[in-house]
Amino acid sequence: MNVNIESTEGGVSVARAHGRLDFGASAEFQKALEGAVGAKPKALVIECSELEYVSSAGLRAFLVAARAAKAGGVGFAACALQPAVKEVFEVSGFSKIIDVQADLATALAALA
Amino acid sequence: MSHSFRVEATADRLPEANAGLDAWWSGAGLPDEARFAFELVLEEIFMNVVMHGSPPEGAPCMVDVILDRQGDGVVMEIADDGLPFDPLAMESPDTAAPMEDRRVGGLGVYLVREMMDTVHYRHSEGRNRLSVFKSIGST
Repeated sequence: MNVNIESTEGGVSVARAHGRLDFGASAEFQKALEGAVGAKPKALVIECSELEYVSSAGLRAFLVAARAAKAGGVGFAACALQPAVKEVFEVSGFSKIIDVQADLATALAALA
Repeated sequence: MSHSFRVEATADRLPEANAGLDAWWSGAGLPDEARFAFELVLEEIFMNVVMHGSPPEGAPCMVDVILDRQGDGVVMEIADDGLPFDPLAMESPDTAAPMEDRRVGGLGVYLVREMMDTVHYRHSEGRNRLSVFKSIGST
């Protein structure tokens, strides 16, 4: 998998996650998100429309990044989850602890 | 007809295990959208074996994956010759806990239970055997 991080004009960073977030990919993904949070944007949005798969290892990376964001006063949201990824977020209870938005526009509006 | 394959229980072999599942799944002509849950279960259980199965010293244990159609679903057995370990005995996480208190231990096995219709563990003939079944609808 890979993740590309870009900044919007509003000072929000958007991390676009592509591919499969399995055990092997989770450490690098977590590092990328922690780096993005460390740059102290106003908020970090994880855009997941190209994220095909997530396991518990991937969820951990989301959780670590969300905690770092909260500790650093950085807004945090995930958006545009594919149905299977969304199911994992819901079953695990992660959709209750991480702000999940329908799409990027909605997420940016919510974090503005 | 059942299909089986064997993979060494090390973290870097996870893609190989997943490829074995995908190859069977595609060959059987099963719907893509139903595959995700089985990939997830295979990863969670395989990684559990990687973490808990192999003795601290010595070679990694081996994982056998056996796949078959059963009724309107798929049955998958994941067996290993590692240390006896019942993943279903792990405590479930509190999925209602706030972020600060949220613990990640046991999350993988919790997902396995929730994503499958049935999950059974037994230890027999010196092997851990976890068997799961899920309906995939009419095909």
